[in-house]
Amino acid sequence: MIDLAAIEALASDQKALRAAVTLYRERGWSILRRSADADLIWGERQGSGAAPYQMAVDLRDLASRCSCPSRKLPCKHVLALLLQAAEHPEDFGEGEPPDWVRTWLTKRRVGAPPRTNEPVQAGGALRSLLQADATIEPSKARVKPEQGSRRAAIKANALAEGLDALEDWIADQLKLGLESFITEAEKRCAGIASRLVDVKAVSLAARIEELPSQLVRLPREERVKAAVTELGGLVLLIRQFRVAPNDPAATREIAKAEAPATVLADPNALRVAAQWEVLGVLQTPRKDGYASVGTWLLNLGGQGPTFALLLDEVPASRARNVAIMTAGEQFEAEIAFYPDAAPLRAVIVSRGAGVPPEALQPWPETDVPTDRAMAPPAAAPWRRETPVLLKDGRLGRSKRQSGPDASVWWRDASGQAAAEIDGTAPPIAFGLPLLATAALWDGHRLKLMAAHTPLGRVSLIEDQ
Amino acid sequence: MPDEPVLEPTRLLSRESIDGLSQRWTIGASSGSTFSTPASPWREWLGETVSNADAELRLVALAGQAERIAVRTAAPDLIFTADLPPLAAPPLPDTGRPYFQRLLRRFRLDQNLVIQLLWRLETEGFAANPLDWLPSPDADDLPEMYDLWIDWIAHATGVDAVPTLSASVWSSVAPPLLLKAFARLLRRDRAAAIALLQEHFADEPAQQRARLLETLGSIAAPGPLSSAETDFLTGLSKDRSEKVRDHAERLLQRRRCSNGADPRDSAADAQELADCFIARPRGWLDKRIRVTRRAEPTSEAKRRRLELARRVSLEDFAQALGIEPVTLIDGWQFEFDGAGDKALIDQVLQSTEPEACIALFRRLLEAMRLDPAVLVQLAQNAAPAQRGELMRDALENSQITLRSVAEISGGSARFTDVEASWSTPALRAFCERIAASLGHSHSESGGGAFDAQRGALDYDCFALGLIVAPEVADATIDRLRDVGLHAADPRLDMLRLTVALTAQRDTSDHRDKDLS
Repeated sequence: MIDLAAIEALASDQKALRAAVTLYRERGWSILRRSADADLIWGERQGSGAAPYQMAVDLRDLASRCSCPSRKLPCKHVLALLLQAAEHPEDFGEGEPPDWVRTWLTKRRVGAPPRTNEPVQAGGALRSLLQADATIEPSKARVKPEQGSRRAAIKANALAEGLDALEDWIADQLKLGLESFITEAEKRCAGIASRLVDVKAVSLAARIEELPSQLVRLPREERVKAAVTELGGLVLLIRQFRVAPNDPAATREIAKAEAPATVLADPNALRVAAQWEVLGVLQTPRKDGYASVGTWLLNLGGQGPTFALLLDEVPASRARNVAIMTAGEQFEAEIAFYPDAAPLRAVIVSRGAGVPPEALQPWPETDVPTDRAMAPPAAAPWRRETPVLLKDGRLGRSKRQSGPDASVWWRDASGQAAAEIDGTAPPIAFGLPLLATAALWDGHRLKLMAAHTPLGRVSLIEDQ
Repeated sequence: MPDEPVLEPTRLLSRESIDGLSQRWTIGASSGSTFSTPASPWREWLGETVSNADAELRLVALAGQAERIAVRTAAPDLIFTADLPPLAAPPLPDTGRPYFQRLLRRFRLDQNLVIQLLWRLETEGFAANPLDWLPSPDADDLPEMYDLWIDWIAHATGVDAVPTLSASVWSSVAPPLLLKAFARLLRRDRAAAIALLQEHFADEPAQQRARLLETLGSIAAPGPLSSAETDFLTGLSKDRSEKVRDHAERLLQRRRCSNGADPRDSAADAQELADCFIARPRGWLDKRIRVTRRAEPTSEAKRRRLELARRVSLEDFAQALGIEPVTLIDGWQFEFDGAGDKALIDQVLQSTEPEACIALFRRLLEAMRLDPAVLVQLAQNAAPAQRGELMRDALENSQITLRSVAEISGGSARFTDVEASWSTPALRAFCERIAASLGHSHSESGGGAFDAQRGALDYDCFALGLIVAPEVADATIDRLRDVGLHAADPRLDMLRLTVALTAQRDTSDHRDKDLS
């Protein structure tokens, strides 16, 4: 039994305590668990990113850990977890501690008395906070409605002009020749990206800034094809936005994604409750000092989209510390998809227990022909990468080259379809038939994530 | 279906059309218009009223889509690796894999521990799942069953496989591979390796002959030489290469078989060395022999004694003192002379007598001379049953680490009595270190030192899993939880793996019995 006074004493200040009470009232836990011996509790809840914050408390001494960036110890999430455990211990299902909890256990101290702060309020103040009116005062609107719409119109006009400029820029590149574009890609892309940032087309600017490095990674003879693919994709995206300026998917690709909380609060958002498998976590450093951390999920339930992407954008220095799931892990969860005609990006609404080995689900059967599986979705043809689930195939090396530098190819069992691999794969992936392979296809290379072999699942992302 | 893909572009644009457009865009489209080309299926898609600039943009969008969905069917000729061959032992059961995977992640930089882990699996009748671990192409100290995978991975990674050495293949193996193959055979069948060496040595070039001797020295050391090895090395005194002669001489000297030395000289040296010591009972009642060094008047006398100690064998030295080698070791007064102690340790390491090694092992523990490398080398000369005794002796010392204890046991001995073992000084000290580590945070005790201590404890926890018998692994976990480790602490993984393997083995045994 956790004492409210102890939680109160742990809080670093009254603000943290109030914030914790607010979180506690909101509930919003995607997972709440305790160890079999009830010494440990841990939970997950949605923060400002796609991957939920993870927090754990050792109840023996109230030592805690949270993946949020707060410098307060303990943070509001941990305090909220403790409040939840104090007030509703029945909400915590028994479970095996996940790897991130285990890792934390080896690094922390135990046995020392809990570090307590001066009680922020005397005599059961926390109890009164909990019992107080839960109504949260809405924040005052900073902008009057009419002001808001005028500003929105100005912003929309600026954005439209920016997109016109981008189309002109693309046409210029075609006129000047893609050979010179590829040579000067860094400079040319930086110029138009800067213009796009000015009109708040931040996502589009980031995409264009990445283009030079993507071209450089390809062999010289493939760069024109890659440039055509990407410039063509941008044209499609611009045209979609012009036709449907309120299309949230196109807006997201051009300006900025909605906050996860908005998606969670959206009653029309597609929600899929199913068993999911973590295919892998891909970190992509960006030029702006940030990194995209994408957790790719595979739907094992048969209903709804096959894939879901939990996408976080964090400072590159923090990318390694983002709370991530373990590749291969399966779990029950309800997932809310961002509004999109081809749903992909998502947030976790609630998460059930991790699935024990005996309840692991196989990957869904796929009978989609390879060329169709690798095509971008009709509703979002501008997407740079398409997640694919490939049928029976095998990895081989090009005969033209020799040694470890030989290019690696995936080829289907019939020998009808083949695609080159981005990088290489662990040796074991060459020694077994790949009964099914999950990968990302960008029109040039397959980025392998995981595969099923006769011996079981193998992760094809390094370090996972 | 919302995610129905667009396949239309490939219908509208042929491969030739895409290639033609790409070629034009590569050099620049300003010189001519796309519309000057004859009518084509995509003309309709572009529409009639659009401007040329707009048509160009639509066309690039169309071509980009066509490129993306045109999955390459014309892949280059590919080479496919053969399937990974199955091993004789079944792969690790799913119940044990999570622990095995975590252990691999934690200790992936310490190959020695990974090898111990694999030997432990082999002892329990399992092989690693190749999805978790594969050997490197040049691994040569793994259980023999992994040879199949070593060969396979060498082939898969384009590295020449290490062949199984025999008389018929010796001369066809490339020099670097020959050394690896010889090393592997030496570890597994030393007599066969020496026989092959004798047969083919003379045909090898001088540099390769020297390298073969280096390999022999690094793998065969510090154990005794067999008579065949001694004969072979002695015969190299007439080798054409000075380097080879020097190597052979050094190997022989290390084992107190001085090349071509006159036995009378050896006896004289032994007697001269013995004269530097007095071996006599400790007292009237205590008849145990004490070996003490006589006072040396000059540093020259000391230098001479040490020189003799390096040349004379343990047996000759003891004989010259008129006592048994074990009596000499038991009566030796440690720590009166570091260099002399080291000379005796070297004599024992090169001795052929397991009893001498065991006696010295115990004496070193008593004298708190806890050089783990020496203790492990001494233990390696003992029979498996004796290694169990040595492990128990080692546990009586609070200064020894469990990692050393595990290496002393050599995987062939484990403790089965938790009560008795847990009261040993080594395990009590281990528990104290665990408790102390849990009570100190990183920042409180200096990051680097703390990390080092924690790392050492991680190794000890792993080693504990190696030295407990499977039937008491559960009880051992309970003990560690009493100390303060949480049930989910990954430091318990080796013990938990042991529990999982035992459970699986018992299930299989029962199933086999039921079937029979």
